[in-house]
Amino acid sequence: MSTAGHRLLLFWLLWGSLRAQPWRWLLALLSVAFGIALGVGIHLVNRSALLEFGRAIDRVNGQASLQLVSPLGRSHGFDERIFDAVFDQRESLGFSGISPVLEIPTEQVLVLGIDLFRAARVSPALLPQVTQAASEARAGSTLFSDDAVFLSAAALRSLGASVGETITLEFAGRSVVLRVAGEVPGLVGQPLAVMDLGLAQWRFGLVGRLSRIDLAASTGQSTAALARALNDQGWPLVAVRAEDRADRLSHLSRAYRVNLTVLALVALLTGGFLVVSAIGLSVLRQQAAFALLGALGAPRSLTAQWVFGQSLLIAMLGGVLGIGLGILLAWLLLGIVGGDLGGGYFSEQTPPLAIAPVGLLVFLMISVLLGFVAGLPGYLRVRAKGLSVQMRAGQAETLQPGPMSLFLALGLCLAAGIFSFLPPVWSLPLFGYAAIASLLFAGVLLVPWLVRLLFPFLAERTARRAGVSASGLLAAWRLAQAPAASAGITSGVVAAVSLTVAMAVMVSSFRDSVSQWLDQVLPADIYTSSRAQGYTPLFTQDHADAVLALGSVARVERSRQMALVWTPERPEVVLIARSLNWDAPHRSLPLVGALAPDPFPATEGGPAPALPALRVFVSEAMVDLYGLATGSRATLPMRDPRTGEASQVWVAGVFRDYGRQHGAVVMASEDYEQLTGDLGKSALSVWVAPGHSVDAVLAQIRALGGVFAQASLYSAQSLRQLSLQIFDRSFALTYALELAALIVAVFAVASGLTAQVIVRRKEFALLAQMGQSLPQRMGLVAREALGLLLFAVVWGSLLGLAMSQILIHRVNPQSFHWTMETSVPSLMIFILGSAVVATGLAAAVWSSARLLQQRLLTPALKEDW
Amino acid sequence: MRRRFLWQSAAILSALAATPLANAATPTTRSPFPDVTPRRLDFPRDHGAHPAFRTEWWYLTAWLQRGPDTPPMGFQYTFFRSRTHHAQDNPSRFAPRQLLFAHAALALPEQGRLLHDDRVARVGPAGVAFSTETTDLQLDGWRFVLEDGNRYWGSARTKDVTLSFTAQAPAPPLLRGRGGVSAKGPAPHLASYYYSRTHLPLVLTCQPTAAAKESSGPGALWAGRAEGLAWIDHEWSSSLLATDAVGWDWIGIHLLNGGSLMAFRIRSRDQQPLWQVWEMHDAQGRLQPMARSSAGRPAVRWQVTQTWESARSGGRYPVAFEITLGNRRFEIAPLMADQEVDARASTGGFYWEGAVSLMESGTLIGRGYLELTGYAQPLQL
Repeated sequence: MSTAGHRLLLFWLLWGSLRAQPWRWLLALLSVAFGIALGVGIHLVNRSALLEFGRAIDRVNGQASLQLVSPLGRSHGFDERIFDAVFDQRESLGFSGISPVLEIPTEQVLVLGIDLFRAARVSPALLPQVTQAASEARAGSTLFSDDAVFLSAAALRSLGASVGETITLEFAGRSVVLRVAGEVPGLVGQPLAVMDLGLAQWRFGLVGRLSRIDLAASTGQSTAALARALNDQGWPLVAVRAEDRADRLSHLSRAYRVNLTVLALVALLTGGFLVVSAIGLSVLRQQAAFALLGALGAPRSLTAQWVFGQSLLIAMLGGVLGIGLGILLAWLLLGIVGGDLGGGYFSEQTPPLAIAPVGLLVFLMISVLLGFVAGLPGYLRVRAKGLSVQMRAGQAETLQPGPMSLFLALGLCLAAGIFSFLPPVWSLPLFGYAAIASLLFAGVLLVPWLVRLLFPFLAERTARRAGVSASGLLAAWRLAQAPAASAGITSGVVAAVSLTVAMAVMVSSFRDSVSQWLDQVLPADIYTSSRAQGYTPLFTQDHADAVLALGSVARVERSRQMALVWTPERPEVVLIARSLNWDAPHRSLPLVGALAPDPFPATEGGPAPALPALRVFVSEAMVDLYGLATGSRATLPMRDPRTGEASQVWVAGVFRDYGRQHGAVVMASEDYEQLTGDLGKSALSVWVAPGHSVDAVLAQIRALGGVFAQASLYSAQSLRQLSLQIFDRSFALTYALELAALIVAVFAVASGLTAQVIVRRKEFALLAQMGQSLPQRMGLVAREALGLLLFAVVWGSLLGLAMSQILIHRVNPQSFHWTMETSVPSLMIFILGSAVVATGLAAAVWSSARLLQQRLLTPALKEDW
Repeated sequence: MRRRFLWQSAAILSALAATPLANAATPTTRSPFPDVTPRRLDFPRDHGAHPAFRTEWWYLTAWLQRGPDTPPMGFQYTFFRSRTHHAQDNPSRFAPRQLLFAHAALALPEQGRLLHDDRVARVGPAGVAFSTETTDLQLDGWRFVLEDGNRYWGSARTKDVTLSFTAQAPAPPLLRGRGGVSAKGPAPHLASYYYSRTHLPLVLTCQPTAAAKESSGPGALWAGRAEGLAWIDHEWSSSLLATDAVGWDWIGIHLLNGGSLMAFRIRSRDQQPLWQVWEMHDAQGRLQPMARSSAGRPAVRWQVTQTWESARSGGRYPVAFEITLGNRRFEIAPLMADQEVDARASTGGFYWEGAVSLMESGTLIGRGYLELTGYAQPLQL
């Protein structure tokens, strides 16, 4: 055969296959496109958000290669005299530029106080520009006047100000009126204000404070070495490199991002099942024609080209369409839920869409791979049988599963077991996902074996019962006799239901645990926290007394929260200083596991305890991230003022913390005050006296004015609601994916049953000739579908429950560092299962009804090869 | 882009600093700065800073030689102080009330290059300070100090070299103008307090930094010791330039006969002289009488004989002049053409400050420094 003729033949064959079942192919194509689109969408949204977030951080930092910040976080600030000390070491340390910066998070905009001259050598992007109009007269005096502030273009927009006008910025109870003297051209898209450091200290009441010291390494100097040298100086500051900042950024949302991407791949996988079933159907329809071609001398490669031609064509078209849809989806998602997909990690700003061709190419490759893998079973089936068998199309149905699939399934089960006990890789639960995938495939491969075990038993029971219709009996026997055929139809449903149930159980467990946790961590009735944290904590003892003096308040507790840089490359840990009941810490904290034995037994005159005196509680994340455990020692990145040494602490217990994924440390207020000399508090917890309404007390507190007018005030009730709202929002996408998986599953059932009807045309034709009416035939198909769907839903749910345990006990602790208790949403699973059975049944009946008409069936009996 | 912003912000600073480099108008309204009024200068107090005044500088220039038969080199070391309009009651140590700028430049004609570096900072934190008792300036480790009324020393660590010098003044300060009040224009407020110290034997040591040392070869930096005669100017004022002035040409020359010459002309936008001064002292420090025009103005005429265009700034500098004074004819010739100082990161913009020789009728009669400001136009971006 000539090459051209070969090509033409292949084209005809492909065209014939596609024309034979256009809607099925379209469905398969759309499902692939759907999976790819979700993947691409999530990938692009995250990329855009991360890029934007990274750019924003870089802008605030003016691209300084190295920074010294307080280990208590940059909002805490430090004494400006440290700047002089660092400056004095410039020759021994060898950095080329040094620039002190004060960050003031005003209500309206983040203000950076800089020393213009020093910033020019370290972070020139922060340099302001006196606008032309102003500089005509007195540029220099403008730059160092008593009220000049310079705004980025975005800040001008967000504040609705223009150059020359005055703006009022509020911070820590102060209102500062400033004149917009110009712009900051280096900070285009970021809402930021820049002003002179000396002016900023003065006007915002922060004289003597700095937030960070930016350093420029000399040419050829390694920032890592400089950072080490800086950290060895004994200053109460920690050196953070630009690379550390980037690491920290990617740590911030990496686990969340990976979880979402894996969910998208799950959708893709479910779509893949549809392609497999469409190919299988195509092979069934046309293998007789192929066998004939083979008998006439067509090469075997033609078969391969035909099978893979179909699958690759559909998968690639789906991939290309999916990428297009994914870009659209990302664009929509960015506009609607924001850059963090509702995860709450980034600011509320909408980042611009950032498209990376390489990432998109990867998704195209995934679709090609999917096409290849989806074509493989069909190809193997065609190749496995002899020509004579293939020519008898009706006999081509595989009724019994091969023994290999059982071994493979058992092997995968074993692998799942092993994977679920392996530790995380790069802080990601990759093995956890591998375990879930193994379990999924094992579950699908086991379907025919379970069917073979289960349905004969059912068939016997059915046969013995009186009053069973002929259709019911036939359906039961059919299911019992052809387990492999059932597997083809049900695998999609099993996969989709199991994944959905797994996610549903995980989300429900998580939500219940969060809800319980909220009850534990919100014992008071009203919470108020100062918005301007850091330099000037709002709440002094006087404020607490004022609240107590309202009369309607039973108790007031003050606490302090601040960010603590535990290691420079990870996001900050939250340090909480609050009152602790050492006798019954369970009442103060949602503890997990046992408490460490008291290291300070109250024995008089006994040996002095060898443990450090400072006791802290740490969150579960600290255990996973920093290797702390109950009873272990840790070094706080703060210096003990009494010894000058880094503070040693002793972990008294571990608590659950769903609020702070990157770790939290709780110490007693007394200890904190002794350690830092810092008596200010950033939050108040208020217990309302019996007989008073929470809302009334809230209003009373707000009416106290002053700091309370600007502080955020919440009742425990509303805080709880708000938290759960945020929780639900962050899982909105998960629900959407579950729904998508189920829709694909229903499609798969419909298409699988239709395939059955085609394959079994002779059987149905024979039954019709024997007098079976159309409703009876429909009843037979419906009963078979019902049996299969019920089986698939039950088996899928069981698999899902097993997978949910991996999600709850491996994936979540490994990626988010928190644990939870399983709670199964039985009603939800029941409704979900019923819905799948009902819609699947309806779809099966609807799609096969036309094919079961007698006039279409009769010709099948005449076919004879 | 970054260069552009840096440049623009630096250009702003040049307006603020109102140093000799400034080419923007000095505000005459709402001046919190004192005027220059005739008074007797009081040393050593007046060697120190005068923070109430808007602008002040200490200028040291010198012709140096490493040995008897080695080619000459030029050395310039300058501190500027500038007072801003910033409120006096700001308690912050970072309050930008007083700014210090410093430039150091070493002209190496046999290598045809000018090493220069600059520093700028607000007075207050990190040891940036000036004394009001005597010359004692500190800026990021750079020092300029007068001890015992006559012994100057200084040191500056630049990106290439560490320079340190000592210089001994052989004579008391030479007061400029009328008893130290030097007029800068026809209006009485256009004046500065100004005195010079001339003929200071200076010893300079130069130590290349570790990084600079590694780059050996023909471009290697000079290391070692050089000697020569230094000239120090100290000048402070609140309003120097008339509104229509764009810059000035200034010379300070040690005459071979032991005398000295200081002359300058302030130029208008159309490059016409607005104000001229010519002070030539003999070896005993006596002011030489000079020819005057019929209007009583000094009859000095500066004529440009050679211009040099800077590739960096695009500025065209007149680096050689012919000066006629009555029937005397002087020529100024530069040690090398490219002695342009890039001060964009500190005082802002470019200026030319270079070693020159003074000839009269073709005969060398002195060596000193020429300063040219207001020639480099702001780049069109």
